[in-house]
Amino acid sequence: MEWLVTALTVVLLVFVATGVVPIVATGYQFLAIPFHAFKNDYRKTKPYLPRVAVVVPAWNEGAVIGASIDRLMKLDYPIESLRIYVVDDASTDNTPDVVLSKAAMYPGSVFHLRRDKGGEGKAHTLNHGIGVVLKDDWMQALLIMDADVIYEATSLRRMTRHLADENVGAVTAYIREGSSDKNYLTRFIGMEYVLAQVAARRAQNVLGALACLAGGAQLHSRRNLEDLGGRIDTTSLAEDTITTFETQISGKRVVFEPHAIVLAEEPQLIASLWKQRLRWARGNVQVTSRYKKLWFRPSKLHNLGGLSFGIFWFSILWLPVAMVLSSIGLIGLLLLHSDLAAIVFRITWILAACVYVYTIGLAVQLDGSTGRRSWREAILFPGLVSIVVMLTAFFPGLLDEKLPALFGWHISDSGHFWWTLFVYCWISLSMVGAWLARAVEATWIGKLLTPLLIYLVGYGPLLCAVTVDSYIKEARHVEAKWDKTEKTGRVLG
Amino acid sequence: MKRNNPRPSPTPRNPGDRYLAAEIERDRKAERRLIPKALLSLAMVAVLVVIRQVFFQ
Repeated sequence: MEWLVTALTVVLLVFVATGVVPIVATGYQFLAIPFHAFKNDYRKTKPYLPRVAVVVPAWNEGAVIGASIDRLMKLDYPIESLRIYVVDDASTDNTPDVVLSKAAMYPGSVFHLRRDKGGEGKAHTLNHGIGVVLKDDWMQALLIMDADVIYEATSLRRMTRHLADENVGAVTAYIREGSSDKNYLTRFIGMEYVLAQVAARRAQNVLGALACLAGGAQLHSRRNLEDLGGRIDTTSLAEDTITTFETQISGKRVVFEPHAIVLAEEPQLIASLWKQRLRWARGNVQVTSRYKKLWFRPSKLHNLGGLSFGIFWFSILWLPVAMVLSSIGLIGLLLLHSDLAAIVFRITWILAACVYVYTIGLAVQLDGSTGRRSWREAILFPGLVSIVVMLTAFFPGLLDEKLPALFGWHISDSGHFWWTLFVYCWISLSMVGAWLARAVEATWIGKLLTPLLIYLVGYGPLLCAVTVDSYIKEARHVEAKWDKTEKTGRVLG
Repeated sequence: MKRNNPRPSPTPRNPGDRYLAAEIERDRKAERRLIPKALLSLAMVAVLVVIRQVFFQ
């Protein structure tokens, strides 16, 4: 029997260790960020203002497309080197009228391309525009953007300068959450974008492999577009990721430019966010399968097959699995009365606390204005309960002995056991809490309860819950339709 | 000697190569601020570790 207990203990320790991998991967990635001070592309960039065709897919974007076109026409960029092609994907609102009026206002600069049969997804819409643009040799670089994003004045020329290096195939900008009327969710998304773009993409620049060009702000050289076959992939929900991968697989670099900033409107309701993120998550599952021969296979042409990139990718993709295995491991060790339970719990959550403090501390500095506006969401990104769990691990005795003692309380052995069980389960329960937040959003109490639940369980677990939904949908082969995120023109321009 | 192709005057839309090169240099140097920012974040972690070691060990 002893051998069985030992074997079980080892298995449970491995389960807990899987929960440590994403924490260490995040810490490693964020420790790479300061190296961007020296390992960046700026010595290879030169002033370069190529002729840029901007392709804007638009379905019922009447509320936003006018302002976007006006902003593009005011860019600090030579007007004779800028053409905007709005691909109207069979819109049923006033999109065509708005675009045609802008085409009349800016003759020779704005073009309306109409698809009478639409609804096939963004990639098909883009390909319609790209086909038109490639018919002559005017275009030297292609900018793909969303209809609602607002470009800051110097953002385009900050992107084009990287294409002066012929080895760069594509450049992406920082998409900052730019709603004028923010709520708790858009503030959380704002912080997420700082972490995932301003921070993590700098690390990816350093490590030499970028996971994804931003859908609303990606610039391609003509040569790269032609090497991609003159079209965007239409076979998955993750056309941006596939474009990014194919560019790098062909030996060209993809660069993140942190000083090129564009503003975008993000969802204010979990229902809308869930729809958007489910599409992205399912796309990532599809990409993982599609490139199965690439993972952990180093190549001379690119770094996508490197160890670190693979670990980052799968840490995010399998994070919910790691969270659940970690809980199972800890609970199992607790029920086996193993002394190792408390030790590995402390190690895991102390590491998590250190990485949390470092990453959030750095993120709020990297985009100070977002950090100031969203300081509550920065602090509560992992959720209030997870912060309590971190305190439990980091400062042993604080919450279960010292604090109760201040009120003359004493927690019984049974109380200790149930509290321990709860903190061991929490990382998995947090995803259930996020799911509950989504479920109650549409009810009469949702307006109050949903934000409260997200502050309690965390925004990170909300994204993990969406990832779990993507596993389920992909496993069930649910039809992968391109479900567009509705935009209403809330960007602060 | 007359110049047959005079350089166009800088405009906000095209401020000229010298300005754009200086902009690249400014952005390159701005990246150096990542180091003190990262060190400050690491210092925050260090403070927590010290508090733990002093008061909770």
